[in-house]
Amino acid sequence: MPQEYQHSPHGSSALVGARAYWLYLLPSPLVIKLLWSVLTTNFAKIAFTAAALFFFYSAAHLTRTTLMRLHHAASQPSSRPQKLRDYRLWGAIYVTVGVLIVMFMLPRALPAKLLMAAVAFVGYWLMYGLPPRQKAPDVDYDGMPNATREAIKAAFADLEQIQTLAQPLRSHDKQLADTLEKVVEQSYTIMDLLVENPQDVGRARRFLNVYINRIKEILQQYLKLAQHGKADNLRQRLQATLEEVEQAFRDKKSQLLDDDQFKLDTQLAVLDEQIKHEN
Amino acid sequence: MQTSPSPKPESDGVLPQGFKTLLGALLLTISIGFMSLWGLFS
Repeated sequence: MPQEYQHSPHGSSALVGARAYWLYLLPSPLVIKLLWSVLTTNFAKIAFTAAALFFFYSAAHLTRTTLMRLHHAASQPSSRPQKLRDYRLWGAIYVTVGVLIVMFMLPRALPAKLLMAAVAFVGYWLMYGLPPRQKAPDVDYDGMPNATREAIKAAFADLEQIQTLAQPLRSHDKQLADTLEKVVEQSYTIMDLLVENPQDVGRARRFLNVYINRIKEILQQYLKLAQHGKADNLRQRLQATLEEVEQAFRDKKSQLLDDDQFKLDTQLAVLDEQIKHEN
Repeated sequence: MQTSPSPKPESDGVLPQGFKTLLGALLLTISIGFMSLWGLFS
């Protein structure tokens, strides 16, 4: 069976790596200049060159980590867009500031210095792109009762916050982060079902008003304790609870879908009866 | 035998992505690379 083609918008790993390292390579003459300035003890040049290098290599680091993250996310298809830390705007700003510092050391007129900084910004934008604008979930709130609208909005906000809180967790507790990711995935599926059928909100009121918010609060408290190294004995309980929550959300999703199936079944039966009656 | 659809080059509708990357690399080379070299010899 042919594999479905999945195009990574950020290219192959090798290409991503080459593009990411280009920014490390370009300012290398400044390293020689810094060493030369140190040998000749020219403190002004040391300060300016070191500052320019700081901005260039910070930009390079931010860009490389963002590109690798985007590439990794693109190679792992998900049913919904993933929220990623995208530092390309900072990368572009750091590159621009670095070029301004270099230009400050050169005997050129101010417009030429500004023009070169602008060239660097445009170059960065063309080569690496800039982060897409954050878009609110595409929900049609028209015709929903106020309470439902507010509950759905609050739940979406809580889910976004849970995702943001879970990001630092991924680097040191993959198991917990994965479980949390599954919970969030199930939550979004239920939210989609509720947005499509707002009349079902009554049957999922506790899910909307209580559970998502409670998960967010527990996660906030856990991360706070973990920062002070006092969350070790809570970790297993949190893991077990999240697994139970994921199963409960899975059941809730099935229940909502079963109800829809039942409604459709009834409608079909009624239609069937009407057609028979007409004949 | 069925084959997968061939990859289409990414583009935002104005310029192909490959061209944008090359142009970006050129602009960055001028603004960072050449200016750093100039800074080295100034």
